[in-house]
Order: sequence, then C-alpha cells, then structure tokens
Amino acid sequence: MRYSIFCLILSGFLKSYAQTVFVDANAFRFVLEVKQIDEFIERFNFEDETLLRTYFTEKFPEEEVTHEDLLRTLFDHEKPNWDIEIIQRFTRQVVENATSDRLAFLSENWYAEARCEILYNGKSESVVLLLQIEQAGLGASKWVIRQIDADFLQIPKEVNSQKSLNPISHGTDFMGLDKAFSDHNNLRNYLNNGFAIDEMSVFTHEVQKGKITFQQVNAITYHFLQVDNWIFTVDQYLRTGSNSGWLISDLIPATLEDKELYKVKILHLDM
Amino acid sequence: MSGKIRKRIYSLLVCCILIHYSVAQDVIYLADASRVECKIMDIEGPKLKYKNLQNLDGPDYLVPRERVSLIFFEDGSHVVMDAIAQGGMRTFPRPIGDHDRIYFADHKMELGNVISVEKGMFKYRRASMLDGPIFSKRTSDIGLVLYRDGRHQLFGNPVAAATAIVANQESVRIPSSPPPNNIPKVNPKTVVERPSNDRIPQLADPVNESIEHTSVEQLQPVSAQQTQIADRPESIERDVREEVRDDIPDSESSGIIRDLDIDMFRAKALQKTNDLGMYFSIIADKQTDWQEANKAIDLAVDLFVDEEARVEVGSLSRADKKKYPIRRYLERLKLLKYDKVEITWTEVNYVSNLRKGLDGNYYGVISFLQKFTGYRDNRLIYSDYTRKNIEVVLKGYTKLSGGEQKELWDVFLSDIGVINMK
Repeated sequence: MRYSIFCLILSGFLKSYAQTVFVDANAFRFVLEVKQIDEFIERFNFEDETLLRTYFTEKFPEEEVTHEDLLRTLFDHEKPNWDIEIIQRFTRQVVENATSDRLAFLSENWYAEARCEILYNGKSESVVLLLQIEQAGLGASKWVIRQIDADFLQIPKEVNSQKSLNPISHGTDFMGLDKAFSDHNNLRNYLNNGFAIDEMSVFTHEVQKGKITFQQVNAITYHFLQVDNWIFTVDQYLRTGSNSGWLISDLIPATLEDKELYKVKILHLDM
Repeated sequence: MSGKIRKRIYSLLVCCILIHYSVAQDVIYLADASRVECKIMDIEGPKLKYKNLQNLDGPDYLVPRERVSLIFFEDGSHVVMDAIAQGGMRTFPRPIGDHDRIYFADHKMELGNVISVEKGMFKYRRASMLDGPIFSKRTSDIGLVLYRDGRHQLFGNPVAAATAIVANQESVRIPSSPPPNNIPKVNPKTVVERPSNDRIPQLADPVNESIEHTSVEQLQPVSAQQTQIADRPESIERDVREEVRDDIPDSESSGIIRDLDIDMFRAKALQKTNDLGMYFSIIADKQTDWQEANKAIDLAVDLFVDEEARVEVGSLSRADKKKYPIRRYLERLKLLKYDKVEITWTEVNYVSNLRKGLDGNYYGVISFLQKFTGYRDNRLIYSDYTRKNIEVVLKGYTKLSGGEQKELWDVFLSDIGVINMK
C-alpha cells in the first residue's frame, strides 16, 4: 500500500505536518473537511477541480493524489467495525469503473433523510422527511419530499378492545357511528384490521391547515443507491480532525433486489 | 482501369452512399440503448410511428413512447422524451453555428471542433481556442456529439445523452403544426404494432423483437440496431488537463444568459462574499460612526437577493438554531458589546457547482471559514472559528443602456448557514 504524504496526513501519522509546513492550520483542516455533499460527489467522481485535489497539487506538487486517495478521505475513519475487505472491494470497483460508477446529482437513486423538529398544535414533535432530487425540465431541478415518517400522526392502539360497532348496527341504520367518531381513544376498533395511515397525506393536510410549523433540521443522512452492487450512507461528522464533514457511515453490498427492498424497508417508499 | 483503382472507386461510392444514408434517415434510440434507423411518420401520439427504410411503401411500425429516449431527424433536429414537458417531449432544432456540440458522460457540454475519433480516443479543439491545443478524451467519457453538419454520434447511453441535451441546451416549443419534417398521418389499417417488451437486454445483445402485425401484407421485421459503443482502450492514458466550462444556456423565459464562464461566476460570488465580510467588520466595530454603520448595513443587504435572506446562528452548547433575516442579523451585530471586532475569512474556500432552479435562476453555495475576534479595553475577550455556507444566486436582469435593452446577469447572496463553532 502506498504511503504518500496525503495518506499519512489523513491517517493522522503526520498530525503536526500542518504546523511545520502550512501557515494556516485552520485553512488546512478546512480543505480536508468534506464540507458539502456536492464536494463529496466531486471527490467520489475524482473531478479535476475538487478543492482538495487542487490544493494538494499546489502545496505538494510532487505528490500525486489518486482516485483511491480521495475515496479514502470519504470514509468515517473513526468507525470501529469497518470490514476492510469490503471497503477495498468497493474502492477497487469505483476506481476501475470511474466512468460508469460515478455519482450524479440529478440521479433519482439517492435520497436525503432529514430528521426534523416540528410543532404540531404547538407541541414539539420529531418527524423524518425523505427528500429526493426531481428534474423539472430545461435543466432545472428541485428537492421534493417523497416520504414522511411521523409517528405522532399514527392512530394509537385502542384502550378498550371491546368498544366497537356491534354486528347489528345496521338495524338502526348505523346510528352508533356518532359514538365511533367521538370515541377517540378506541378509534382503531372502528377501522379494518389492515388499516394503515398514509402519514404523508395526513402530514401535508395538517401543514396546509396551519397545524404544523417547521422548526429545524437536526440531522441529515444521505442514502446512495447509484453505484452498481452497493448501497452506502453518508452522515455529517463535526469534529476538528482531518477526517470530518460528510463521510460514508455505512457500506453494504447490494443486488438490485436488495436495493428495491432497501427502498421499501429502510426508506419506507411505496414501490 | 486496374483492379485497385476500381476497388477504390467502388469503396468511395459505397462511402458516399453510406454517408448519405446515415444523414438522410431518422434514428430512434430506445431507453434500452437499441437503435432504429427508419423514417419517422408521427411522434405526436402515445406511440411513435415509423417506416422501415427498406420498405418505405410498406406498413408503419409502432413503438410505445415510454420506451423512446431520443429521436434524431435527418435534418439534424432532435427530440428528447421528457415526461415532465408539455406534450411529453422537447424538440430541439439542428444546432446552428460553426462548432460541434460535445456532450460528456457527466452531462457537461462543450463547443468545439472534433478532429478524430479512433482507437478509443476522442480528439477535439475547443471553440474558444481553435488554434490552440488538441484535447484528448477516452470515448467512454463522451456521451453524444452533435456535429455542425447535422450528423450526430452517440457514444454512451441514450437516456444519459437525453439528460445532457436538456441540461445544456435551450429548447423550442413543440409546434402545434406537424413535426419538423412534415410527417404525414398514416392509414391505421396498415399500422403494425411493436409490442411493449419488458425485457431489458444488455448492451451486448442485439435486440431482435418479434412483431405481430394486423396488416394483410407480409412484413419484414425491423431489427433494432445496437447503439454504437466505442471500445475502451486497454491502456488508459491520462487526459490532457483541461477545464470543462459549464456553459449556461439561455433561459427560455428571458433568454438572458449565454456562455457564462463558471470562473467568472466564482470570482463574482467570492468578491461579494468578501465585501460582506468587510461590511461585517465595519458594522461590528464600535469605532464606526452609527450613520456609517447604518450605511454599511444597507450596502450589505444590497448584496443579497432580497431582504428575506436569513442568517442561521447556532452553537455547540445550544441544540436549537436561530434564524434571523439579514437586516435584523446585521442590526444585532451592531449591538455587540465589544470595543473592537475583527472578522476575517480564510483565503481558501469551496464553491459548489451551479444548479438551475425552477425559477430559471442558478444556485450554488460557498463554504468558508470565519474567524471572529472581539476586544474590550484592548484585551482579547472572545475568539472563535465558524464555518459558514452561503447560498449564492445567479440571476438575470434587464438594463437599459444607450437606448438599448441589455440582458445581464449578476450574483446575489442568499441564506447563510452556520455549521459549527470552534
């Protein structure tokens, strides 16, 4: 394995290198940090103009920054249980298929999972929004909400399992429905067994009625399903070392079927 | 006449015929990368109608629109299937001008003059440097070329090429009158339907689909031809180091931005960011006269796209982040209890790619590191490093100059996000 200055700095072996070579250590750390998901994509695709590459070309002209080097900067080095063999297999594939295994911003096959805080009727609640880039023609694009996980919108389990519309309710032309509508604690008893609330529809309806106010985004995870045979997630690591910013937090070998299952089970997309 | 000369003349004739053939025909590229050379009869309905080139008097064939990615007409105009667009497609005229349009595999586009395509290498000169160096790319890095003489050459996936065309080129509205080459309507009795095929063949497999026909005529099936995929050279040479300019096309609604240099955008965006930093220092400095501070606030706000732009403020000790409209943020900055404030930004910064929004504006983000130092009684009281992300907007506007209406563009700042405090 080649140990260039680049690699050694990233692995922490030359922590003091910045102080001896660079005037501004903060600028150096800034360069190393993966500041935007755009920058993550640039490094992944080994683009010429990515900041880290151009900076090292200027500061260390004798050192060649390879595609493999840049890919290594994109992993969370502090995760304890990485399978190194899997990482190497992944890296090898991406480097060898540099043209086809590129990440595309406008692709449908990546998602942003935003864990947010909202106010629902004045009360603070957590909600997970799944966003995706959607192309809008003429080269324009936008982020759209594809799915919403809002547990607080679920109809709770009934308190009294014996409350229901009895089997002879039709005898009085279902007069007892008024009680069903007011029996909020046991509402589930009046719905069919397979009933599942469509959280996205209910959520958007409540937003429209002004009952939901957005507070803030607490955390974001990006899910990438673009690379053949792989799924990986990217999270943000705010720390002061050389390995910080948007980094790969998980890497899973995945067939096409695995990816479809991931979309349903993990991303809760309706397929 | 010797045998050799006869062979040469024959080859020349064949080439002429073939070249003519490749120009005087329409081509349909399907989403599965197969290619159909034909004569297109109708593209307006839910299914495209075309005739077999070998049997132009014969029946029409149909292919479902959702299977089609790209269509090239013999006159060089082309159609991109786009479910979002009105009518489900976008029509583009034959490119005009003296240069070829080169669409790269990463969807970027460059104007240039193609010199050669051989042995897996694509060589060209850039339009802005026709006397300059020859650039080389692997053909696998090229998606599509639209030649200035109306020909085209597809190297990669037609779906990707379609995306690149839409992302880089202005479109014309689909005419309510017949399509560009006046395709006549056909008698439905002679229509042959190509069945919808769920099988997605690999690029290496030739697609030979069986065709059911309702016509009484005996038909020859159209064999879909493969997309031309250039071979990857065994030894991959490093590309000539070069910049690919993100030429930003005209906005259809205002037609105001053309050939914007991405470097110019970056320079302008960074200049405005630096100006903002300067105004921050002036506003926060207690030595600044309050009228000058207010003037600086107004000038700082003018850097932004509008007064609804916000600044996010947060800290490690507080989980919640507060957002202030820019003017309110600057007013708060003016009230900081320091005798002297230094706000400096590192020279190194990151500028993202530009992305087009629904409003026709282009959006990017600049990340930079800010150092804040506060003094009181000449003593250092507080210092921190904050990383900020500033959204920047590339927006067009109209200006009257010398009696002439000019379409210009400018860069404006927008929301500012705070990432962390050190």
